Formats: sequence, C-alpha cells, structure tokens
Amino acid sequence: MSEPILETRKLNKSYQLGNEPVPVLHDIDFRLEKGQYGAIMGPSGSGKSTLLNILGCLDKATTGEYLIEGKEVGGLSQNQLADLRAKSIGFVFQSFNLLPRLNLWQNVELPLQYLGIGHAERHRLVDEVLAKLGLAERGEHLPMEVSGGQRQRAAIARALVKRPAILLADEPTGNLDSTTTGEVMDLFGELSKEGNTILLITHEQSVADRASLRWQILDGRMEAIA
Amino acid sequence: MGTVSTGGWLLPLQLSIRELGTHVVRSLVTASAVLFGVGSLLIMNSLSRGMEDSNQKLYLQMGGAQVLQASPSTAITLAQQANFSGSPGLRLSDVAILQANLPEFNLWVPEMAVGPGQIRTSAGRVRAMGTASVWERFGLLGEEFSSTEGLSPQAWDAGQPIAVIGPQVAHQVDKTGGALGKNLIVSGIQVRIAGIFKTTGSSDQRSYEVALPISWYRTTQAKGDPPLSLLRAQVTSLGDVSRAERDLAGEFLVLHRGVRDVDISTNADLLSDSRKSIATMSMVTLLIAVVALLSGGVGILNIQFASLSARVRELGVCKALGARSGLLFRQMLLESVVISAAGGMVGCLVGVLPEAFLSHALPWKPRLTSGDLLLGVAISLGLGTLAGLLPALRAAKLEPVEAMQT
Repeated sequence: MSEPILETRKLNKSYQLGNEPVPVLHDIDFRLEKGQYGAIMGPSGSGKSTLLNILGCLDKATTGEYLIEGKEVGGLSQNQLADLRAKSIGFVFQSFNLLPRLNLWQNVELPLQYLGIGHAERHRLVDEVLAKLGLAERGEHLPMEVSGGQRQRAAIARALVKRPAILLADEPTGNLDSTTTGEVMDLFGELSKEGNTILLITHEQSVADRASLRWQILDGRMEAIA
Repeated sequence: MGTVSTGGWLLPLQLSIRELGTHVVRSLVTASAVLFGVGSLLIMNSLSRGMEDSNQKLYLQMGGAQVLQASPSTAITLAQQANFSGSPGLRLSDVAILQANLPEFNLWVPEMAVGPGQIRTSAGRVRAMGTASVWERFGLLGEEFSSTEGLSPQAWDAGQPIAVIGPQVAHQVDKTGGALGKNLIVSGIQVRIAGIFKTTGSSDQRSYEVALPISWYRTTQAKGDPPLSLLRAQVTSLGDVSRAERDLAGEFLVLHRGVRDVDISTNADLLSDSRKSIATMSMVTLLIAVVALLSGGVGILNIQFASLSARVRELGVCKALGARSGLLFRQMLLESVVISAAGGMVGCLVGVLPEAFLSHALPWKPRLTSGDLLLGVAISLGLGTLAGLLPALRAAKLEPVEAMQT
C-alpha cells in the first residue's frame, strides 16, 4: 500500500443551528492514494459537498483528522490552508466558476500567478494545458463566448495547470448535456491514465461508474461500493 | 510546483488595474469626484498664493513697514459731531504742523484725489484715477517710469502743468503709443504728459493712474486749505513705528480738537487685513474642496462596496484557487487607491491651469509649488486608502464556501 494523498480518520462535521449542533458527517474514514480515481456518490443533502469542501481545505472538520500527503491540516492557519490549496489542490466546480471578465487564457493563468510563477513559465504552462484540452484557439474568448463543454474544459485546465497533487471535482457534469458529459468524463479518464489523482462527487451512477473506486455517502455516513 | 507567493504589491496591482479596466466608465466617473476635489484645492492654493505674492509686492511698493497712512475717517460718532461741529478733517495745513511737531518722521507725502470725471482728452472722457501729490511720492512708493519728457523734481515742485500717467491711460490718449508730450485736460486746463509709469501689467493699479503735481493742483483747482485724501508719513527708524503711530494719532486729536476724524494705519496693518481676507477666501474654497474630496471618498467607498457585492462569488473562487486573504485585501485596496490616484493626478493638472492660462486675465499671477502638487497626490492616495479600507477588509474576511454559494 502506497502513501495516501488524502486520508481522513474519524472525521466529523456538524453545524450549529441556534444552540443545537446539527451533525452532517459521521466518523468518515477514507483514503485515496496517488494515481487513484475515486468517486463519491450520494443524493442531495447527504453531506458529499461538505466532505469535498473539507477535503479541499475550504472548510474545517469539527473533530477527527485530515491529512494531505501525510500532513495533518486541521491545525493549519488560513494562510497555510490557502497555500495548500494553491499548491496541491485543483478544483473543478459544477458551475465552472470561471471569472467572467477574464478570458479563458487569463482564467487558467490565475492559479500560477498566486503561486508566484514567472511570466515566461506561466505562458508556457498555460499554452501547454490549453492545447492539451483542445482550447488553444479559444484562449482569447471570454467564458460567456464559449460553450458549456468548453467552459468546463477551461475550468479543468485551470485546475490542472499547476499540476496539483489531487484534482477535486464537485458535480463536474451537473450543468452539461449528455454528449458533453461523455466528453468531459473521457477527459477525466485520460487524466487518470496519465497518473493524476482524481476525486469527484456526483449523484449520477453513470459518471461514478467511470471511476475505479467508489463510495456511497448517506446521512453523513460513508461506505465503499464494491 | 513552485513556492507559494504572498503576492507582494505588484500582483494585486496588476489584478486591480485589470479589474478596473473592465469597468472604464465607472472608474472614470468615480475618479472625477477626486479630480474636482484635488483640482479645486490646488486652484485655491494657486490663487491665494498669487494674491499673497501680489500683496507682498504692493506692500513693498507702498514703502514697506516704515510707512504710516492717515486718511479721513469714515466713522465719526454722533457724540463727536455734537462736540465739534464742522470737523476740519484731514487738511493740507496739518502737514506743516505735523512736520514741526513730530521729528521721528522724515518724510511726509500728502495726496489729493482728483475725481475721474475731471480728467479727459480733447476727444472725450478718459477712464482714469487722478491723484495730486509731491515729487517724493515716486521715491517712497518705488515708482519708475518707462518714458519721460521734461519731467524733473524742479518742474514738478514748481507747479508746472505736467502729469505722469499709466500705460492704460496713455493708450486711451493715443493708441499708437505716442501719448508722451500730448495733453490731458484736467478740470478744463491742459496738462502735458511728461511721463509714463512702468507697470507690471494691466492689473497693476498704476495702469489707470494720472499723477499730478500737488503744487499745480493747489494753485489751479484746490485753493485755500484743501482736504487730503491720504497722508503718507515715513518713520525714520523701524523700531519707532508703534510709538510714531501713537504720537501721530495724539497730534491729530490735538489739531482736530478731540475729534477722531482721521484713521491711521501702518502698511503692516494693511498687509495683515489683506491676509485675513485671503485667509477667509481660502477657507471658503478649502471647504468646497473638502466637501468635493469627501464626496469623492464616499463615492469610492460606495462603488467598492457595490463591486464587492457583485464579486463575492468570484472572490470566493479566487480563495479556493489559493489566493491569500492578504492578496485579496491588497487587490481591493489598490483598486480604490488607483481610482483615487488617477483622479488626483488629473486634478493636479487641472490645478496648474490657472497659472498656465489665467495669469494675464487676473489682477495677480496664480502660483503653484511642487509642494502643492505633492499635497494633491498625497491627499488622493490617502483618500483612496481610507475609502478602500473597509471593502478590502470585508473581501479579505470572506469565507470561500459561503462566498461561492452566493
């Protein structure tokens, strides 16, 4: 067994509603190793987005441990968490979340600017990833000027450009038609074959079936699906 | 990959300029309020400094700190009028008595006003202010001539019918520049133009002056003991000015039998009064500038809050992508500072306009210093910082999950 990229131990999350704590996640034990392609399934309100937010260092667990590449993140400061997101985590969102006033090229460049990468290297990396995802001719376009599939590919390019340790995708096909969903899932498959570590959450069985590891989350409890 | 950057100030500056570039019109409108504020502040500084310069120059022309001026009082109380009916006022006969009784003064320059209606040419009336005085006035007031013809102390004191006129009067006499040697008519008597004042421009008060020998004026126009419009007296020693002022006032009281019908002031008093007027004007303009600057600041604050509300989701995404709170703080703050600084810099250019274009149209020369320009830039930077602080703090404190759900 190799070193896990992500690992949770007895992870719990609850929100405060007035004086009453509302539990959302219960004792999540979960690990994903380098190069694995996992999918977490679950209906709306099951807690899968909350889990992804914690795994993406956007939110903190109430109790339990969470490790990225073997390092506990629970005690990290806001700046350290931001640095971890900048360096190790690539996000793909359901609604793409491209910045509307930046063109696709600039959107993909942004994470590299946060990393402090020099101008020439940024150009090389952005051009490379856009070409890889078939967007070389679309770099100058604003998000609103391209199709939904191209927007999601641009969002994937933005997540990939910094070569993160883990690619986290939150319902990446939720806003796409069936043809484009197929294209995007093919792309995730190719990225997985290239050795990228991918974890996505979805409520679609056909999307989850593309992953090699699957978990089901129901009422905040998670279990592996064979 | 790489080491995470804190972003410094360059990256947020680039990002803020890129953001502002997507809202050019909004940014320009917001900057305009700062432009008006800084512009009006600098214009006020430029004008008031020009007025101060002009006053200082006038002060020196009036003989400086050693000169006292006595003029007929404009406010004699009813009680005083009752005590002494028919106050003599300021009279030429006073001068000889004062000369004899007040040895601390070394020069006396009486002056009589000549009404504008009394002066004309053969072609008609002339726009001019006339005064009749002694030759010493030219020296006391530091007056110079651009040209003369038959002008001398002897001729002046002998009461010859001659005049020294300002260039604007000369232009009315002869538009071709040949006024020297020609005649003016003062109360029906021909007076030869023997000199033309050297002035600093049309705003110089001497431009419209007609100076006549008091000895001639007395024998032809103001016989007996004529009233004076002004009496200038120079104190021998600068240290004696206060005492001399008291002595002169006391002497007038004795001469005029207890009636305070003469006002005495020093040139320093006049300069001080003038400075008070300038300060009042400056204060009013400053208030206008402050209101404009406050409006500009509130405008920026409002726009930045609106911008923040519209971009909460984007800022959440930026945080998810790895932007530190400090970077977003600096980015939002710099947006406000860049808007304000742009307005301030154009305001500085506007502030230079009076000096560049109004010098000939105003009675004084507006003057702006590099310190004023630095002040303009500093104010705009400070305003942008203050106005942008709160929205920038809000942006920095956004929680990424909550922000992305808006």
